Amino acid sequence: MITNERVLELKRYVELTADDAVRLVALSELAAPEFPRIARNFYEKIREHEAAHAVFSGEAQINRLHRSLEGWLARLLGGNYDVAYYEKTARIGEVHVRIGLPQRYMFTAMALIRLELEEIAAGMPAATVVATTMALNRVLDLDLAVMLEAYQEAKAARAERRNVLEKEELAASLARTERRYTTAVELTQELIVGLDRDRAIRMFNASAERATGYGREEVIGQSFMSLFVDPSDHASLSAAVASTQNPTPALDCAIRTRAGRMREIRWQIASTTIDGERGVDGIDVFLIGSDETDTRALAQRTKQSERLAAIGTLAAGLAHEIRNPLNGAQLHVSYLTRALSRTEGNAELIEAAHVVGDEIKRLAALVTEFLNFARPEPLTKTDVGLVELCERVLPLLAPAARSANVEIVTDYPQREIVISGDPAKLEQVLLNVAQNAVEALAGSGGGKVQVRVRRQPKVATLEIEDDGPGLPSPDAPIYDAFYSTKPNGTGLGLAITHRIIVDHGGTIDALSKPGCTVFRITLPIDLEGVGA
Amino acid sequence: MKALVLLVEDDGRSAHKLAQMLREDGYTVEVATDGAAAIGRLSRSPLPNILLTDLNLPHANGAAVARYARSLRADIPIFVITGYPELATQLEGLAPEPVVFTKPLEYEQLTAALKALQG
Repeated sequence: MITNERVLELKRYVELTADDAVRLVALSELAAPEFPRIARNFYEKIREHEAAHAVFSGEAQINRLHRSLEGWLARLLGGNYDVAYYEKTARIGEVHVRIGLPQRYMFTAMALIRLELEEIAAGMPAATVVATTMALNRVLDLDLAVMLEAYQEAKAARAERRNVLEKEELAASLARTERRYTTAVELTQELIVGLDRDRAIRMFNASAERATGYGREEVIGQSFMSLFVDPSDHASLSAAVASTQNPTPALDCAIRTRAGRMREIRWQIASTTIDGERGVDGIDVFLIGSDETDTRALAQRTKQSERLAAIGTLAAGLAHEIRNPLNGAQLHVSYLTRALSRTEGNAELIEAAHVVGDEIKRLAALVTEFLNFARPEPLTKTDVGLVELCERVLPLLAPAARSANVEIVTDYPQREIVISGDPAKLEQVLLNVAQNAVEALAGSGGGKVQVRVRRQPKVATLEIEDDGPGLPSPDAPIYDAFYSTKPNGTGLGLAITHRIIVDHGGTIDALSKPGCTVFRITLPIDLEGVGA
Repeated sequence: MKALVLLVEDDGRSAHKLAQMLREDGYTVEVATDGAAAIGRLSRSPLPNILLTDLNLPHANGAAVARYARSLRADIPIFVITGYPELATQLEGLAPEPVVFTKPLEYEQLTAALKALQG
């Protein structure tokens, strides 16, 4: 910074006086016409130097520089050397820094100007030549000193600015890196928990929060062991945490969640060692865990369903084999009945043989139903008209309906609804549900069964409604195998029905209250395939 | 002339009771208790008029017996009595199609079907 004190100090140092100013003004009268020539010579010389030339950007700039050099020369010999004058001089030094002109060129340039002006001063009246030349040298030295000082200051300021910028950039890039790592830690599915030397929690990522149900603000500073780990597991986990092996072999150790549930975690324990010393920013060891709870539960369920399937296969095999002894029993009952019929007076015995025969048939029917349920055959799909299906199936129920005093009423749409399905299986569905309705009414002295077929945009519905006593409770597990409310029911009818409908991609729902029970079956209409 | 029935059934007691009843109803019945014996009997004269066979049999299954019988006489009537009606797919391609009964057999159904043959 150029201050008044500084200017005065410099002036005292180079001994620039008011007399000098008068002499320089006198010189300027002689020198002024020479300024353009001096400027031209000056820049021609500079252009010979490669490094100096490199700072010039073009002719326009050089013309500007010519004019400013002429301006400076006029100022230099202007006789007014106040603070404003030196501020302008200082700016020249700053400009040199900005355009990147090395300092040594300022000395050589000043030497060139000095020679030119000294030559002109030599043309002054002889008595004044020495004094004028000395004044010229003083003012030039003073200018050079100010320029150099400004140059240094500008350069230092520039370096400082660069330093600050670099620091900012470095900080930004560190922040970026940190952000990346933080994001990775927070996004991973793995639980990441950092413990300090005292095994207190120092880090707890989002997955750990999710798995445990605790927020990090609640657990930071708490003992991991006492908060999460069952006492029976403390020893093995402590040993792994203290281990110098890195990383440790996987360790299975369950943790207790906020809700009190245990989650199965497989842990990898990594001690943070840098240059042989444990501990990074207060974290001594990382516990990295993968939550295996769901995977294991799934594996267990799969195993269980495999076991059930195996039992099913076994049961199906057993059911098949029951048919052989049943066959023998049935043949012998037929033989007995025939033999007894040959003589009079055996009516009771014949009746007994019939009962055995009926029981064999019942057992056989159970076996067949069970096999249908346990070993469903794949669907054989074709176009099925639902109205046509009802017209085929419902007459089969007519005898039972008649004897139970049940009226079957049908309500069909004008146009047939065709779906893609297994006709035999769908017959079974309708037969099962309609038969249930008839049987429900049989116990209460008769009633009405309504069968409705309807078309909706994407599904066909089949409703079987009866005005009987209704289901025992809305929650009755009516689709479960072996659940039955009928005296001789197998409990498989609705289970099979449900499976067939689900296999067709449909649904079955029951709405029941005393006096009105509706089974509503929906079956998807294949809009692209069969004609609808 | 009584119709000759070859009955192939590995459950001996059931086989003999069924044979007895069929005989009472006027059929001549021969019994084979495994597939190989059945094929052996078919290869000898006289060729039975009717084949009545189980599907699961020792040595050779009912389908093999049925195919062999059809190779000897293309239209021999075949009745299959089985505890595994889903195995009837083994009979695919046989024409005319064998009639399949699921065990336990109702004797009246069988005799009705046999009578329909003579119809």
